[in-house]
Amino acid sequence: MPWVGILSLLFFAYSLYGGLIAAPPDYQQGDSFRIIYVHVPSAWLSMLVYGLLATCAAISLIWRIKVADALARAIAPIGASYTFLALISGSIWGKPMWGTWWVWDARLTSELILLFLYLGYIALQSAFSDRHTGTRASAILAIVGVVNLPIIHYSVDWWNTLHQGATIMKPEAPSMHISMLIPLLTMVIAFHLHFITVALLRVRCELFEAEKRKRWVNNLA
Amino acid sequence: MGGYGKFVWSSYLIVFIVLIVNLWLPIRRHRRQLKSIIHREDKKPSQNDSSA
Repeated sequence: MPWVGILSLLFFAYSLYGGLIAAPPDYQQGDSFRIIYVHVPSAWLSMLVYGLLATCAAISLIWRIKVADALARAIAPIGASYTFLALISGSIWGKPMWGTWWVWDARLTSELILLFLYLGYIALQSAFSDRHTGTRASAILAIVGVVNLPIIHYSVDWWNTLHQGATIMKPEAPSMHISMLIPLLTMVIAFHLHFITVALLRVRCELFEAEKRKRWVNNLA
Repeated sequence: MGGYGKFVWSSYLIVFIVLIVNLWLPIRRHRRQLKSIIHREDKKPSQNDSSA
């Protein structure tokens, strides 16, 4: 676990140098484009973590595997925090570029719905005094919420929106210069490694909480 | 930062604060869990003694 953390730190350091110092300003957006290096990784992870959450929720619902439930409980708050960051950093980027902090367009609204799905999932888990009922109810919400993921991804194609279209995740080559693209990709890796570190730390807490009466936990302590 | 400094730095600051808090919360929680288990284990022998 510490090794993943250290590796993520190295990737963060390199990406910050590449994104804030080495990459040239954008020809249209100037230096404000540098927000991309925190906005895009947060937004990608907000969706990836939700996919993972729904998968774990489905596994715990169908096969009643405790570790899957622990993983789902552990990663939900992390995913919610990435969604919050994607919305906040996007909003801060929107003010100088679009002239507004917020618009009710498809991409922004569907990402906001993702935040509500995460919060709903977390709230449902603790809404029942019986842990298993909470697990089942929240798992169903998580699975139904998956429908929002393609809506977020394709919202920029399906509707007229202020948000720009796909830059990297598209069939053609990325429409970004290599000097700007490499720090972005390394930052995405840094965010993934950071997510793995936090997820492992949180799963350990969840398993401890669920198994605190067992002998192996006492032996560990 | 070409006049965009306050936007760029504030977004980076918020992101890194949240990332650090994400890392710190489970570390703190785990420490508390370990403490509560050790505390429970310390109590056990004395309870046994009193019942014996």
